[in-house]
Amino acid sequence: MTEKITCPECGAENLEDAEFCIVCHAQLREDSTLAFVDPQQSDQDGFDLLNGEEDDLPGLLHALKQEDEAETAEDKSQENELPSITPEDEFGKEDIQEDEGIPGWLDRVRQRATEEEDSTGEITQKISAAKESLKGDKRSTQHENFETWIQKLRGPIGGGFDRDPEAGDSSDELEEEQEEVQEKESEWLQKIRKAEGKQNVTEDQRILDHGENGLLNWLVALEDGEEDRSGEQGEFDIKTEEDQESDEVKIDESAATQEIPVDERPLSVRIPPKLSVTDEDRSQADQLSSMILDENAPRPVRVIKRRSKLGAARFFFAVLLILSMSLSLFIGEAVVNQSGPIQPHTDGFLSWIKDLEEGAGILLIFDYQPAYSSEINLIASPILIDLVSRESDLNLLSSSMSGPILQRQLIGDIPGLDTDSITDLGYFPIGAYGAFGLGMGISADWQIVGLPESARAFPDGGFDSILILSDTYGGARAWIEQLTVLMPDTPINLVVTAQAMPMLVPYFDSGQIIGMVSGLNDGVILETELSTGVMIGMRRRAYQGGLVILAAVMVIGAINAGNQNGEEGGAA
Amino acid sequence: MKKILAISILLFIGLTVLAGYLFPQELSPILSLIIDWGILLIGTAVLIGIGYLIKRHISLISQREKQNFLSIILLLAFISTIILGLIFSFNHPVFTDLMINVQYPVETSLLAILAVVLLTASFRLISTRGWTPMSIAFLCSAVITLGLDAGSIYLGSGGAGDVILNFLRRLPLVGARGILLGMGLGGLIVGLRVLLTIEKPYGE
Repeated sequence: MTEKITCPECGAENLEDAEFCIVCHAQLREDSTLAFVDPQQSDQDGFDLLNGEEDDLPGLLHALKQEDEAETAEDKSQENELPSITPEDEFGKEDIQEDEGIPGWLDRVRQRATEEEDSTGEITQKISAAKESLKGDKRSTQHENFETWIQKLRGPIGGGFDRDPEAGDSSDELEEEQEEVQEKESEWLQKIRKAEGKQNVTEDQRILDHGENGLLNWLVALEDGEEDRSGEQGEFDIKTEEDQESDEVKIDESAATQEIPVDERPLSVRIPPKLSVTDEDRSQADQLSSMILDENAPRPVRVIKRRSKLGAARFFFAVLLILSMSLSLFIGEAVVNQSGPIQPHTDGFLSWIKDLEEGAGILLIFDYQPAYSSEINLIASPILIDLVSRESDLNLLSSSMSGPILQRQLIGDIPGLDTDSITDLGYFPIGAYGAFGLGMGISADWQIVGLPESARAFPDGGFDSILILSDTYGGARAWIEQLTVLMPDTPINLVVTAQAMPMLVPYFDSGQIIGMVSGLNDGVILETELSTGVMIGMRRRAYQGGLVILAAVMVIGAINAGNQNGEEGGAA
Repeated sequence: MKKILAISILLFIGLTVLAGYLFPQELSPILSLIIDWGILLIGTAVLIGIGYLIKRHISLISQREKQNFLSIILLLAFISTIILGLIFSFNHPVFTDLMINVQYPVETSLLAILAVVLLTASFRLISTRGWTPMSIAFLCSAVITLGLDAGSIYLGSGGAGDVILNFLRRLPLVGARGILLGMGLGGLIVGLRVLLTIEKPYGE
């Protein structure tokens, strides 16, 4: 007669060998497949061999390890008392609560939790899996390292002697002596003494030296082992943390219906060690790979085919430019009329100079460099001739280093100018200082040796007008912004280069200056309006011809360059 | 202590100069002193700069590098200019002629080279980038500006052509005005930051 098992859930009778209830499908037996190995016990078994050597260094370390493990066990028991339930703790609790007669439904729920993967949440599964793997790794690593270390430490001492087979009994005697020595003094004590220099150099020294080298060798071997391990890891595919996560989460649904091939190799060989790659490592690897790829990338060979054609074209345009500009200086009549309308700021300047009274005090500020002196001189010459004809009182001030020389050059070209009527106010290193001092009416008590004789003080106002000769926007701006605040009643006019004009027009629009002339175009207008007889028209024609040729060269060259780019792009 | 001293000097000078715009007559003596100090400091800074330049070129020559020929020319020109300036003074015709006949052509030639370099740079830009909207805009603006400056473009007066030309002429001024406004606001803010010791360029 066969025995029957009563289902704890529904009370139905089942066969003796049945695992599940035929009525409610409840599990009738405890799952005996889960066999837990107590790591403490396993460690204990592994170290049983050491128990006989309590006074040895490994024995001492083992005792320390046991203490640590005891502390760990205490911590675990404290964690189990906490209300939070983790999957790894459930096993321990299960055993405890079985004895207390827990209800069957709770037992079933817990059993399902252990059997079915999807019974717990994803996060809980990951946490528990990570904890288990961490614990397993830590224990196995500690255990292996510890055993390896002990073996390495022992090996050279015990087996370090080259036994002479002919020695016979003498080697046995030697062994006996060694055992006696080992009994008397433990090895670690000998090492410590040797390290302190208290050990006598005896025959036992060889043993101790070997033992010490064994410790050293172990450290070297450990390093080599790490290097080897890292080399082995390098052979595997590098997976990042994200990839690992994605691999873990990924579930092959077809696996349930497919035959899974069983790998017969040992587990340690089958499972490659996990390699964690940080973002920095990944970026360095990417950079290296991109560098290698870039080195190996095919590069187009730059063939300069059109060098001769381009060179000829350049030479042709250079000759054309120089010839046209040179010939325009000497051939034909001067252009005396402005082709376009007169700009408002030019008109304002003309109005100012025409309305200027005779004998008016004019302050001329020289703020330009020698490179622009030709342009400035051409424009300023008609103005100065007109001012001289009106017997104006001229005061000269420089804010550029070459200013004193440039002003002498400009004034020297003006016919009929009496140099005695000119007041040289000297040189100010920075325009803003000069403008501030001028506007404030501050006396300058300094004198630079070698500079022209100056009044050594700004005149206390009294200027009917101020004329600034500047080649850049910045230089003129410093004077305008200071003087319009400090001397608002004094009209300011500008004589500037063509390149500085666009940035200074807003000052005219705002009323801070009353007029401005710039470039050769305005110079021609001045020459025409003031009838001074300076031959600006001829130079302006050369200037115009140069600009037209420059524009043509730019268009042709740009078209050529654009076509070149298109051909290279098409070829590529 | 150094910081406190620097901040004190800064605040004193800055606020005094600022007050000079409001009370020019009362603060004229002290403003004169400040300006004299400023000019003296600028002269000293220029001398220090010249000293560093000379030291640099002397070290280049002593290292016997391949391109130290230019350094030798620079040092020779510098020494000769100093000697001539000391002998003839700044106002002497010999010194003035030397400056005019050497410095003028050199600087003018540099400007001419700059024009050619800019021209070829524009070609290089187009050959590198190809026909993009920016390169087309650059080419059009350059050609139109050159044509306007040369007076080659004239579409009559009073009509639509005049309006278009005026628009094209005013177009660069729009950008210039924006730049000026930005510079003015930036200068005001930097001045206030220095005066309020938020910005400390003297301590860095």
